[in-house]
Amino acid sequence: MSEKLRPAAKIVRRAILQGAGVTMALPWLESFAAKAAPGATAFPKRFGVVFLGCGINEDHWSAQGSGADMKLSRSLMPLEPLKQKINVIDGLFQKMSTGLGIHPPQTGSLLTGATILKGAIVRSGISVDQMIAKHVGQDTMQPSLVLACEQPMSGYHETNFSLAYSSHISWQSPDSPVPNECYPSLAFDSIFENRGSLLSVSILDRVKERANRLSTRISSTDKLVLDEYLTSVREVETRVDAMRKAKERADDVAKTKNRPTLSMERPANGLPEDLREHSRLMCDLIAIAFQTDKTRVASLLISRDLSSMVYPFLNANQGHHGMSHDNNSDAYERITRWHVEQYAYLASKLDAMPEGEGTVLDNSCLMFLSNLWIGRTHNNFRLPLVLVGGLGGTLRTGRVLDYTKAPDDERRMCSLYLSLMDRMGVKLDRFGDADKRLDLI
Amino acid sequence: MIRSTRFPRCTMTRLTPALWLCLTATCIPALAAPQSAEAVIDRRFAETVRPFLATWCDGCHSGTKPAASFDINQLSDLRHLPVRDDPRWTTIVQRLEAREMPPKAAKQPGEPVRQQVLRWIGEMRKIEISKNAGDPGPVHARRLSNAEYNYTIRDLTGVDMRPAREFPVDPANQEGFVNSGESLRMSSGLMAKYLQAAREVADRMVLKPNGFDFASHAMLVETDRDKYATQRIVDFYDRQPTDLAAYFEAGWRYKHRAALGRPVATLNSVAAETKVSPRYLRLIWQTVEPAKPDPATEEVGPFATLLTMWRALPAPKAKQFNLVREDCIRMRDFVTKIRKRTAKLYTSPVAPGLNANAQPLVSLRNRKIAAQHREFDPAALRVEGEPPAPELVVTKGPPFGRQEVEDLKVAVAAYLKERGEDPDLAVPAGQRARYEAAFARFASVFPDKFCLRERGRFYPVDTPDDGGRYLSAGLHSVMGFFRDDQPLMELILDEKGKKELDTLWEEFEFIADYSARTYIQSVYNGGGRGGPQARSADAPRKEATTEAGIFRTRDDIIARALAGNSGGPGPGRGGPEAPPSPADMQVIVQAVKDHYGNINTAVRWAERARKEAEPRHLDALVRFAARAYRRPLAKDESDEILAYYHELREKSGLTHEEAMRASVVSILVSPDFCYRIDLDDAGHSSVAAKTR
Repeated sequence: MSEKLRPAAKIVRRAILQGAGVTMALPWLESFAAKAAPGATAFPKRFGVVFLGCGINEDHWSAQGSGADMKLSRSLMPLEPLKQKINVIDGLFQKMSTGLGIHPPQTGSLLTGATILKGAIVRSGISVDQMIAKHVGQDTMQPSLVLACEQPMSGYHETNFSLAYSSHISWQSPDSPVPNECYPSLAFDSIFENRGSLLSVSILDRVKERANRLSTRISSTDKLVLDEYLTSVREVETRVDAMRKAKERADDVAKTKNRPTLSMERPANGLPEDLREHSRLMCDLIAIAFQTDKTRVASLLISRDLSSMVYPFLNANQGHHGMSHDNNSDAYERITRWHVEQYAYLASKLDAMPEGEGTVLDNSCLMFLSNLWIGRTHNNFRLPLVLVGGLGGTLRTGRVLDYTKAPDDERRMCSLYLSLMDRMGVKLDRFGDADKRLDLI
Repeated sequence: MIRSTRFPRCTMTRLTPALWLCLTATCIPALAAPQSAEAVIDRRFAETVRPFLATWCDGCHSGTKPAASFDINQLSDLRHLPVRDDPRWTTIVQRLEAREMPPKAAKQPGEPVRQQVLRWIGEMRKIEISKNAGDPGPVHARRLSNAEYNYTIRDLTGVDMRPAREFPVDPANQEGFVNSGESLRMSSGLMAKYLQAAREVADRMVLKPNGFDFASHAMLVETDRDKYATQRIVDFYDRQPTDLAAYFEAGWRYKHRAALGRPVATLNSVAAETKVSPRYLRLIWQTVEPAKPDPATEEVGPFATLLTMWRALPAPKAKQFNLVREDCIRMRDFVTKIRKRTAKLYTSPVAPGLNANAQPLVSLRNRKIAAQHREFDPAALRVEGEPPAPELVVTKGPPFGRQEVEDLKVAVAAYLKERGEDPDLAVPAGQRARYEAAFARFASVFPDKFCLRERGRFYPVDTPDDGGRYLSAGLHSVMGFFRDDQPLMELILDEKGKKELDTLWEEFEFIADYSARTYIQSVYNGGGRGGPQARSADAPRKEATTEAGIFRTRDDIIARALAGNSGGPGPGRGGPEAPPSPADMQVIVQAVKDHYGNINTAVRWAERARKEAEPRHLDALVRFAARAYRRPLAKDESDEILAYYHELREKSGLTHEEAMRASVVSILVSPDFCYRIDLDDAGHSSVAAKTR
């Protein structure tokens, strides 16, 4: 748009501020201002989920005491160095996931709290991670990272629920889960390359060009209207650009303090041969995305429900799901512990990233959970659950919280989700089957 | 003085050269055709109206101080700015009609000439109004209101997704309208919402062989694609006229067409009226009213019963169209019962290395049963004096829980009991051949199923717990789809319907890639088979679905079947102890070859179809843009759209589908879509000139 038109354009801008436009623009401008002044506000809070399919070995899953004195059982041992930053929560469950049969119906509502449908019409609800992403995701390159180390399955389980429920934990809408990214290289691209917000920049550039061409073909009155459009496009672009600049600034700061920000090379194309390498890469990607504030929400499905993963490196050579039917075996304990190790690895990684007075982990909350408690009986009347990270000092840690003796309506997973969302700045009256926050948390 | 120039100077100065050309162009036909209504109006203006105004009005209503500030000379060219001058003409009409002008005291024009002028004004207006009917003229640029945005997206995509629900409420102008240009502002906050909404729309895009469409939900995950594509096919099946009662009733209406007041009705016209397939109605008619009776088949068995019922249908009086509905339903129920109890089943042979749950054998069973819906099971007939039929093995579906095995036994026993007690299946001694011929003909006219919309694990036994598995192949815990609608194709559908159904299935493969996915899941994820392959994520997927990869799997499985090696738990579970006979082994080997051959064909087709569809998708993208912009695109505009797509693919490394989605987003946030804009050169000019 030519400079000549600018004065007229200003009139239009003033007109917007006088009209209702100002109320539309304000909330957004606030967030823009927050981005533009680094350090002016608190560090962002992040939320992550790490999932293990088919439950744990209940003989080796417990914790007692608090803080430095906390005693962790064998499967939780990988969290030993972090125990002052964890909360081991026992006894919560998803009531709507019980009594519908085994596996897919025990997983489909895990993070959504919704009642799911049988047959070809797949339907759940918006999952807690995606709900948070909907609220905080606009400020980052990617609203969320949804990763998996195991490919999804489709088709039907004998319960007549779709295997989609077993393959996905993150749901962006009741009708549709979020596609799992299994390829580390593509996940890397989604945070560093021309996808996500950078694609928006490309699209906005394109429409700017389009508007400029159009302006040669319309009346001068209409040009003023179009100028308002262009201003809006430019402002959205600036915002995305600000995110990029903030990252560059962070890199510079890190450089002058001789402490390089975590950097990683782009992983090779294809799926890593070794599951250990695969899960580490996925954790590294989440860590770097959290550190550089490319996203504030992530979920990682290491093994899905009905997993057919095998773990030769754990001396466990049968499929994961099959082995879960003998879940108090040593082999299954090793599988459980290995998953906890991945979770601990991610948490430690975040804990090694300084941020303000603390670390990135201190401003985050990572939740580890499974869809079952006891695989051999398909028991999901309580769920294994650990949280790590203090959400910027809003979540006390180093605790063991036992809800096993609480009445059913006081041990709802969705109550925990409400409590966590509160701390993420997402205040809802209701989520899934819960309308009250979890007691004691 | 009334100016008689066609284009008064004051107007001309406001016209751009382009408009001037347009105006000139529109005037030429008028000049060239003196007999047109416009020409008549022009002539009468010169002959009657102008002299009238000059004589009766000009004296007072002109000059530096026209009476009542009404200057008749300010009436610009009467013929070309009627819209702007309309209020003046209204005043003139009112005064002339009320006989207020010329003033009472002044000399009056004759009544005929007064009426002529009034008539002329009326006709002139009519012509002018009709010229611009439906065209509001130029409207100032403004963004779409939220409601318009929603409706436009709905019209554009065919899906009512209401993306504007997330937008702030449109502000109203002073008059309370929310669609006025001055109140519909744009802001960066709103722009961000537009971007989000456009993404939401683009996420629902579904690529098809000949273009793209939109689904009512996101189309990003495999199950989204399955859900979308299977639902369309199931909807198609559900729309088909397969209710036999309707055909019997239609046949009866045709038979009694005269009594029902339709003496000239034909089978086709009755079919159209009763919404049944004319093709199938013809066959039903020939069956119940055979031109050449065939006593051999028609006098025994189900035919005899059905024809007796048909002949017993009462004749109608006058308009008793619905007289036999109940009887026809009874006839239908009779046919359905017979066909259910005589359905021809198939149980595939099994080998120690390959049980009935193995995909090649499930697919063999499905193909066999799908091909014989128009045949019947001779073992269903109980011939007097013959020994009872050997034990019926209905299914070797996956026996999982003990309860399920029990349920299955109960269901099969109930089926056999019904069948064993049905008097319609009893055959007198020595009459098997004749009855079989009768049943065969009956079955060929009345298939046991026209199409199968869902299939459970124990197919063909219905297990209510497995309901809703649309188009499923009936596999356990892995995906798989199977098409079973041959009788519908052979008996009901016309050429157009057949083509539509074929296209829906092709599009299913194209959209959901189900053959490749079924194959990958079965090889790498299915059944929890041990071994390094089972680590599902590290499967070399690209290579897996090559022809060589598929045939390697095929050969492995054939080798396993031949070796009788169960290969551990999983597919071998529950397999028989004894090896199959050589003939059965041949059937098994052929089934494996067919299964993987079919998969390979489907996967290759999908690969090719996707590649070939890319240019068509780009054409569709340009067409989509034209519809989104609500006008034809100029060459450079469509080039821009394509250039952006290519940039996304080549520079940003996006896949075809990603680049298509991003292009759709860019179209939906471009000003051409979000705004209602009239281009100066877009053909509104002649009207524009009149109202500016």
